[in-house]
Amino acid sequence: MSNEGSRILSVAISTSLIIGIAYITSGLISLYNWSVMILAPEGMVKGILRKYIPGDLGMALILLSIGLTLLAAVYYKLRQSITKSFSCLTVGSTLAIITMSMQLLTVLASTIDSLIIGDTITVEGVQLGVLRIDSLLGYVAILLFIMSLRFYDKRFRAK
Amino acid sequence: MSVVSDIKLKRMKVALAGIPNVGKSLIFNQLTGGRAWVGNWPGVTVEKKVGKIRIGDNELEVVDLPGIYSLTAYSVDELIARNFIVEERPNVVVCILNAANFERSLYLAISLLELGANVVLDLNMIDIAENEGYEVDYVRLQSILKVPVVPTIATKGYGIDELKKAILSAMKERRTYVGIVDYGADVEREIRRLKSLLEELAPGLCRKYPSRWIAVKLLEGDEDILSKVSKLPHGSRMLEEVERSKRSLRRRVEDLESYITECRYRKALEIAQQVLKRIKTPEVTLTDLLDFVLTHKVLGMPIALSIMYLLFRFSFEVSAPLVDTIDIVMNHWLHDWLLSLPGLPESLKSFLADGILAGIGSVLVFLPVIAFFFLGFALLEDVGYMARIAFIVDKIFHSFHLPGKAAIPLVIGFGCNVPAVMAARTIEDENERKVAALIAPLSSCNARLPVYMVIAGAVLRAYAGAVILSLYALGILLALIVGWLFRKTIFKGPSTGFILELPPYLSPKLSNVVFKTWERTKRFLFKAGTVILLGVIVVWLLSVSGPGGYLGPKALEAPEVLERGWVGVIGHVLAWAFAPMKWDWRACAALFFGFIAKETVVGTMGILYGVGEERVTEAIMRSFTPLTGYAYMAFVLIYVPCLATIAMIRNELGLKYSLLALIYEVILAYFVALSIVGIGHLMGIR
Amino acid sequence: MMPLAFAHEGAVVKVLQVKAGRGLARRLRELGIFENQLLRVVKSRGPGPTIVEVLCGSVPQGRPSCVLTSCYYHRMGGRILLGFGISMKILVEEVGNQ
Ligand SMILES: Nc1nc2c(ncn2[C@@H]2O[C@H](COP(=O)(O)OP(=O)(O)OP(=O)(O)O)[C@@H](O)[C@H]2O)c(=O)[nH]1
Ligand SMILES: [Mg+2]
Repeated sequence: MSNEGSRILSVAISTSLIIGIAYITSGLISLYNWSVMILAPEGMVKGILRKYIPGDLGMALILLSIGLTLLAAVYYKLRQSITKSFSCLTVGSTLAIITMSMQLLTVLASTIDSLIIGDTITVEGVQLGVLRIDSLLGYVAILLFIMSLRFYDKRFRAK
Repeated sequence: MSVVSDIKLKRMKVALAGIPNVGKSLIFNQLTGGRAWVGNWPGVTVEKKVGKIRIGDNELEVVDLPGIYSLTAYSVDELIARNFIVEERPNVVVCILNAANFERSLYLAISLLELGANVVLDLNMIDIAENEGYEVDYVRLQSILKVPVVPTIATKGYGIDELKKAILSAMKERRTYVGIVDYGADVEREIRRLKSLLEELAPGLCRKYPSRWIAVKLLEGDEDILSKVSKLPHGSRMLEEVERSKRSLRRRVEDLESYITECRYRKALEIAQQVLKRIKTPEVTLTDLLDFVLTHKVLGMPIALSIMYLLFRFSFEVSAPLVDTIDIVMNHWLHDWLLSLPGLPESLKSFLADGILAGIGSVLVFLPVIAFFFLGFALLEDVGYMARIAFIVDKIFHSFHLPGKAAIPLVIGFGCNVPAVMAARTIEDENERKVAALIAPLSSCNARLPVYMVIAGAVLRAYAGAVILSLYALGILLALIVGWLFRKTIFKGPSTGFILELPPYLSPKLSNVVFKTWERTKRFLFKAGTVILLGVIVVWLLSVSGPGGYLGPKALEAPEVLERGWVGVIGHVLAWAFAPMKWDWRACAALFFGFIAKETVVGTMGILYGVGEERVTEAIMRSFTPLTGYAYMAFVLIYVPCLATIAMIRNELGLKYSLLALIYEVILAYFVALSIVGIGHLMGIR
Repeated sequence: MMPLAFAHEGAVVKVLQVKAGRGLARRLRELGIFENQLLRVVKSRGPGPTIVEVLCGSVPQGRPSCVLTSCYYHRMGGRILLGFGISMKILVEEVGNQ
């Protein structure tokens, strides 16, 4: 493997470790917020950062899946399986980007929707949507995706 | 060209054969301009489809067939293809080869050549082969097989014109190569002996098929040919001779059937060795990369669920602006405009506004949700993820005595149950296939969605999303349990498991995705314009009339009057039957009309709950508690899919099983709804 | 000798016996899975369904899929998903690991 390739990979893997942990943590928080919402009646327990990490089972699932995949990339790198590690990296970051795009699409849709039914659009509402945890982490994942693409060019592109 | 030969050509039949997922349907579409269903997993086509093709001045009939691996069928869809090729003897068989799955394609091509079919070979997917690092020397292939070979890339339309030309010239000049496989001196001697016997004893059969092919099939023990021969006048004599040949060969070859297939297989390998050329060495392909994670032990399942969740989010949330637009236009503007029209008789106004518009409008509102769902679904199909789902769930399904392949009908069922029942055809085992078809309707189709959205939206508010997802999960869970019960009682038998070739991941083709989304959405629209419209009209008629005679449009303004109409009678009778669930009589009446199609449940509600109310939602909110609302939705999920699905089950499995499906679903629905209410009460939920 | 369902991911196995009914055995044969053939286990839910690729003889200009006893094997066509039931019916012996 070329030197540059291995450098890109190690940067990508360390980023992956950090983002992966961030995904797992926020997934767990979302899960916690969700159970608080379901189990405790109206507002008895506060929940953590509920504005940015709403309690939502589906979202928790996605966050955890992405986190696990990214951490798997680290795991396989430690076990010296470059291809497997790269696989996890690519799929994990792609999934993160899709999730992010979906959230942005939703924000866009609900903004248009407010226009149509004549609700007022608040800056805060849009802001919360754009900065929700799944979109926020998704922005960082773009970096990861770019790195994995560059690594692919260096290492796997057929000669 | 003379008129005579022109007429002759017009009657000609061209069959498209090939292993599953080589692009037969896509090539069919390109040849005929037809609209066969294309998707990136084996088993998309399960029925033959006929189209016309014009080449110059000639019109030919082209038939798209389900995929087959050989001329021995192993499942229902394969039997359709096999019978067409063997029984109807099309004038030309275009055998489509997958350059990226060359050996198996070649095996089929060899089988077709042995049959004496007039074969044109279409070497498709050469772009994928190239990506994987090799290429097929088709000129050499042509000289080995002695039939024309046309390389194509169906997705780009490359080579289609050449293919047309090749088909046309094959019509004029028939080329066959029956003796392509050499089965070794001993077997060949017996083949020769049987061959001459056949020509003498069964001349009729030999006119239809090459005698060598019949001889080989007899030695192979092909059931179809054996029974054909046994029905002939000298049949028993012939079969005795076959037995004699087998006996004399037994000393040399242990198992004749496997020996013969292996010979063919080795021939395919040998040819492949001569024509496959490596052009580069990619270390990994995209498919390898994706598959590592997507079918991973730990990651596979959560990612599959995440993808499903994203699909639902896409269809519910992103479509919201369109839903509201339709709502405003149909249920407010149009409604008010109709009522304000001067000079229209009151009863007609009522019929149009409170009957048709209220009914159809409440269904059509959900059109965008359904269209978005189909859009996302088509993407998943074309990428090639479907086949992977079968792997991911196989272990779970296995513990319910079902094959993982049964997941494909269930997933298709999320869109519509009718094609889902049909998709069960590809399941090899008879018992498993029947069970898969019977449980497919439990998968929650798009027609149920409006019901969920109306009720969950009105009654469960903040939890609506989670509740709707839970209904989808409930459907799958029940499908598994019912499947298990069936496998333990009526359809006993060992699990044979299943075989599925995994397609490569491909980037989806926009035109195909849009086309499929449109076709499926159109079907929904069509239903709204026919079945649901009809249902709504019937509901209106039964509302404004009753046992006491004509009630007039007043019925749709005053609830007391409505209760005296026929709907009121039906509703009250059913409400009595559903007493433990405490459903409103109007909701029960809606269930009655939902027999035809699930959308009518919402259509009926739109009419009945609109009576004397400004907003339907509020009326619904008052008549359900969260618990009874949930039980109602579960009931709608489970009881009778729709008439079309029942008809399809009847078509696939016969009347008996369609009745079975009908009965088990109604009973199960009642039981589940009752349990939900019961358990809810125990837990103190209202 | 063990069922294919128990094979490890990444292992190269040799098919010893296919204990299946006639139709199934035939279908497997048509896909290249029969006695003495080599398979590479791409995925396994040990024990559970498997994804295998069929390796065919040493083909110089083929696609090398793995190197086994200093001989190149190339993989034949697409990968095959074998359900749990079938994976239990194919008896194999591990001959190499990648
Ligand atoms: N890249 C590429 N993709 C192709 C080509 N031909 C077909 N495809 C894709 O292969 C997939 C299968 O095509 P279909 O036409 O549904 O195949 P089929 O043979 O009818 O499949 P079954 O009906 O399931 O037996 C689709 O996703 C097509 O877009 C080709 O030449 N190149
Ligand atoms: Mg097809």
